[in-house]
Amino acid sequence: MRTRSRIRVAAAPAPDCHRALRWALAAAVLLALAAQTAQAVPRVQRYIEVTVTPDELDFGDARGTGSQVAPEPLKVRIAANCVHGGVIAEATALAGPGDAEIPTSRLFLQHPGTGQYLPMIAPMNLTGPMGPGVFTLDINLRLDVLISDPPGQYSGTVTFTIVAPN
Amino acid sequence: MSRPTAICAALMVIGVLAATAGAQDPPRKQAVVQVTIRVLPFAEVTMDVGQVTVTLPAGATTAPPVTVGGTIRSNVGTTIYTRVTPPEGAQGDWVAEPEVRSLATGGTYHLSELLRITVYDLPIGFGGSTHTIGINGQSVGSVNEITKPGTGTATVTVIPD
Repeated sequence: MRTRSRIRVAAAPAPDCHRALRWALAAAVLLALAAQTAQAVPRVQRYIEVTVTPDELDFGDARGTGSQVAPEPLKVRIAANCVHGGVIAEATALAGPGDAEIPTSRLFLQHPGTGQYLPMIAPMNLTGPMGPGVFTLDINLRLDVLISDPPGQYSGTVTFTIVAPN
Repeated sequence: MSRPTAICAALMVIGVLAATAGAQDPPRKQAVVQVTIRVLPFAEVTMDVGQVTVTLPAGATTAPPVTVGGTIRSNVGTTIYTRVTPPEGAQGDWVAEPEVRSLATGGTYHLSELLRITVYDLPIGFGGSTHTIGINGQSVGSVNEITKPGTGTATVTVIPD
């Protein structure tokens, strides 16, 4: 009796240890199943892209006061397979010689919705929310030069950004 | 919470994070265009069209200076050259003052503050009468004979520095 009793005590694992092993095994099985499922079902990633051509726009030479219209429209291409918040455009001032600059209030974008030339003083929403698909916008730009602008080359950027849906 | 339960909870959290990592909102995508323009040195002069009246005091031999309305606009410093051509047969000595003037910086300037046209050495007989000087574009009329006005020209040439 003494011997049997000793064997029983030695062979019986602690209840906590059992439970831990069972949990770990269950977790391992679940993870393995999840991994197999992920491999078996091809997953389509969200895809959103905006491109613009050309990526450099030269307004040419300006003399005196006047409006310079860009020689060609920018082609903004939006491709997405999901709903997104649309495209906004924003610009920096055109930095010139010394401290001279042409402010964004004199850089105008022809809004594709209204056809009006609007100053790029703030980020401008061009489209509103958009669904999946491929779209191309023709964007015309205009720059007003004043007689007070010192001669020299001026450079800035116009950025088109796709925003997340609301 | 026992140790196994804590381990399982941690595993579940890790699993949920891994599963949602691919489903986050799409990143903002951007396209940038470089925009350039070249502003060239520029200067222009315009002269008013109209007439001014000059009264020549009796006994005077010099007509009061005539100013010409108009503007010079430029985005750089300029040098202004002025030349007066009297009408044929005109009397007196027609002078634009100054003939050469430099403007150090660009801007808008009024010709009337820069330019005067004076006729010196007129015959005594011209005094005591009123004469009309016509300004037509870039020309300034004669002061020597009101009944037979001749036409001279005042030419302002602006050269960007």
